[in-house]
Amino acid sequence: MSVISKAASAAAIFYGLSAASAFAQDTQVLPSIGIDSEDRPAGPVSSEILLRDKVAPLQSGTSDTAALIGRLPGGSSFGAGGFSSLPVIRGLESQRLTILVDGVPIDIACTNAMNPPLSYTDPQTIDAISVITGVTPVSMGGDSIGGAISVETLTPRFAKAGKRLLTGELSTFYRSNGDGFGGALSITAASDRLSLSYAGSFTQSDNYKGGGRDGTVRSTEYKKTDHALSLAAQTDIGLFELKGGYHFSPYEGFPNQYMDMTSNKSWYLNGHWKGAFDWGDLDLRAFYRDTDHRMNFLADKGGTATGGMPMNTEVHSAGYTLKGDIMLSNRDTLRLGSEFHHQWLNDYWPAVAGHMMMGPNTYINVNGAKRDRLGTFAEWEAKWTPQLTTLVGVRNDQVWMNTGEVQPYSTSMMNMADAMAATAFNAADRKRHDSNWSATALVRYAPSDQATLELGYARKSRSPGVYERYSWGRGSMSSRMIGWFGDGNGYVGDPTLKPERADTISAAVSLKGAGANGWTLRIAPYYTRVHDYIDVVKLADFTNMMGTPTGFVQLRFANREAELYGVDVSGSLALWQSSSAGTAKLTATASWLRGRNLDDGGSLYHQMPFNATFALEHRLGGWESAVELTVVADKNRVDATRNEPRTDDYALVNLRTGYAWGNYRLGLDVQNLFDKGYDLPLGGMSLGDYKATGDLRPVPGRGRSFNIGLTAKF
Amino acid sequence: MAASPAYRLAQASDTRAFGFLVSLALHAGVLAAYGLWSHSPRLIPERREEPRTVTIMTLPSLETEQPSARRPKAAPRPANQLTPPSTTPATRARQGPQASPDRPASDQAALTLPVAPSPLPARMNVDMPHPQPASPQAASSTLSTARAAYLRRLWEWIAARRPAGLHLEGEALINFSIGADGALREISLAQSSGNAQLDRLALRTVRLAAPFPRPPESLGVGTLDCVLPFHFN
Ligand SMILES: [Cu+2]
Repeated sequence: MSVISKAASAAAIFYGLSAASAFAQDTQVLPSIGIDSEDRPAGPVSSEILLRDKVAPLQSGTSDTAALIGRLPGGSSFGAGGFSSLPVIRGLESQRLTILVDGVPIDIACTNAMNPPLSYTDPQTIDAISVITGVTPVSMGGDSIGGAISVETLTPRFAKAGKRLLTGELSTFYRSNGDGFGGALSITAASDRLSLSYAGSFTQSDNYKGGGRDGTVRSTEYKKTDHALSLAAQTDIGLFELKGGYHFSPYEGFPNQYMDMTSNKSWYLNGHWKGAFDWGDLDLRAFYRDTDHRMNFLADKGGTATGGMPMNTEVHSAGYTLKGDIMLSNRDTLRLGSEFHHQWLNDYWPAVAGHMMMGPNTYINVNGAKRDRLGTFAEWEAKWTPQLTTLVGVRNDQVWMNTGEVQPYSTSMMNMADAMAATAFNAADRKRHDSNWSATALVRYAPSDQATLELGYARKSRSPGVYERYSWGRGSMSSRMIGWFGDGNGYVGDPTLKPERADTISAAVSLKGAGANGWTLRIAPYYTRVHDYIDVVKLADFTNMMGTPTGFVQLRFANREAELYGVDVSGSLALWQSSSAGTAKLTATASWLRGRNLDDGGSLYHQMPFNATFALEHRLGGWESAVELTVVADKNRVDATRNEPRTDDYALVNLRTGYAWGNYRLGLDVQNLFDKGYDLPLGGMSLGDYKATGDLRPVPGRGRSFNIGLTAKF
Repeated sequence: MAASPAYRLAQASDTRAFGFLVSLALHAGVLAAYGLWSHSPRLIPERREEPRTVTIMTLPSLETEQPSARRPKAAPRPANQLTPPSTTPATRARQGPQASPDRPASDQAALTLPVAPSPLPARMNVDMPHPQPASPQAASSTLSTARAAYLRRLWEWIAARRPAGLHLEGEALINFSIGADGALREISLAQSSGNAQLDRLALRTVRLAAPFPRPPESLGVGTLDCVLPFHFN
């Protein structure tokens, strides 16, 4: 510090001293150190990052950001609506992960998790997706027991000094299967100090067709639009960003739910400030989001001419995250942080006029539930040698939850189960306070440029969510409205649920061959033991009018013991490289895992079977192509408690080619080239089809689709 | 809950027609944009060039201090050729000594600089650390090599600790001096980047990189004065 303080009279003193010194030397001029803002610091070994150039070729194939996570080793997703699948990392589903969009969390406002955080993003306007599959440092977020997903959009861009910048991208696509299409525009006008950006996208699709003889998969249509506006300023005291956005989806079918989304409106305002100081960096974000969500039936499930079954949810979220990186020395950095996250949620189902069962009162599912979380962490990063880095952190999250009294449609005989449950719920103490401790330790050792080894341990905690604690209906219908598992079962909450606590050991070895024609290989095994894992216990079989079981069951969330273990492998091999034949490489990823419920010895629910993807990628000038083979083993380890269906193995072939000339890119791809019919291992039951045909089947995967995409940069 | 397909069909055909029109408009927009811009190439802002790789064969090669560090990168731009008062043009024009024979050739390949196609690769070398003007004695050439090697090591040491960028452009020049024990003696901002944030980052990087590797005794110096430009973009 004292040296720095002299900086004012800097040059004069400095040269003066040099000249006076008996050992005065000529000043040595070192070459410039270039700092490119596009360079990202290397993340943990078990992490992946998909930048714009990797996302763009995939945007004509899917409007579902979470589906992109499924392409990464260790990633998969629960099937849901066309842009709303729930990401899974290493067998842990989205509510157990940290998911941030532009650095802030987004609350789900739906009993079926129809509007998860990533549903507010569109692959067309995403700048980067970072995913940590292994041990996630405590500074990356709390109230989660698994990995982390972070999506960035509208990253501020500035002009070169003294210049003006006007830049953007216009894109559009068409998908033959489901007649899907969409478009996006992003535009930035900036000086070297101020930047104004807009990004907007829309997308829509009809029901898609399954492969082979699977036919149309009902309730898979959707439509949505997202808009965001951002103003950023570079000043001498740091970077300021103010970003606001609006999302509207008029409809999204859910093939594996009884309900469909008939409207989702959400707006937000985020503020961000980042400053660099002599002692380190400070980063402050504040956010507010308001979501208004409605469910009812789209046509495949009967429409709403007779009222259907309206279900409305409102959620407000607000909070801040503050992080400070204090550079103690050449070796040590201390990271301190504080986070607050407030969530308020109302969920009510208006009475349907003239309906015997759904009335005369409003069914109050959640009455002004509140979930407040205050997180605090400290993390110490030490670079012992250029080869050896350690990261140790500890974190506490205080969670306060409460909710108001509830009410069934009526207290008539038909609603007796709900009426009794409501009375019990209202009489019970619903206020909860959890104090959750987390700790992580990571060691990274890179003995050479060709090898990196990472070993991590984490103890992570997560408090139950609003619906896990406060869903109370015991009637057949009311409980079947709850659940994001897509299985047709009914779920009942439990206010006494305890937080989940997970111990994870994760390792990763990354190797690469030297030279341009190199190879890479990464092997990442892991083991997680979850105490009080929020699973289910069976309450009852649902029966039809005749009293015969329907195959669906009523379940209650319950703390169980669980373990998950597996290994993710990925690699690449350069095949050739020449100016005439271009470059070609072979890439492969594979994931294997087991999830076990230690209480009943069975499988955990929705565990992805062994799966692998092999791709041959070729590039020649602006021409880029890939042939992709995905193989998925049969799923024969299933959760018997939830009547989870088995699914068969399958193999899919995808082709992709794109040509870029100047500022334009034309992409063509064929998904599921051979139109293979298959069931999605995590797709749940096809309830839209069931309601229309009476035949129950797992949700079929998409059949062949020809996709075309066009992008212009300016 | 009786079915009423008519409801959604009506709604869907409306919304679909709208969506389709928007899609059509976007397609047309892309095509129109193409037509427009392809006829007025001057309107197209500078395109991002594919980085080309130039390998510098003439640098003194060193064992890399930081295997895990990001690839050292010098910014190939005119600012790079800034000449502080004390270095003589004659010194700077000379090529550095050839790679020491005991270093594997692959070490040289490791220092590759992505550059825009226009600047002459030969210009790239002028800023790399060079020995002082050679004196007739043989000892002097050993000294030059030792100094160049040390400066190279020092550069890599600091470069390995470079901060993440701020999406801001600017160049800050830092003056600093290193004691015989490798400690930071003096540090100052020789030229501001125009943004206090970037200046702070540059100063902080050098300050936090200390203590530096000890200068070899053969250099026989008390303090070693350096100027280090940080180029942010
Ligand atoms: Cu919903």
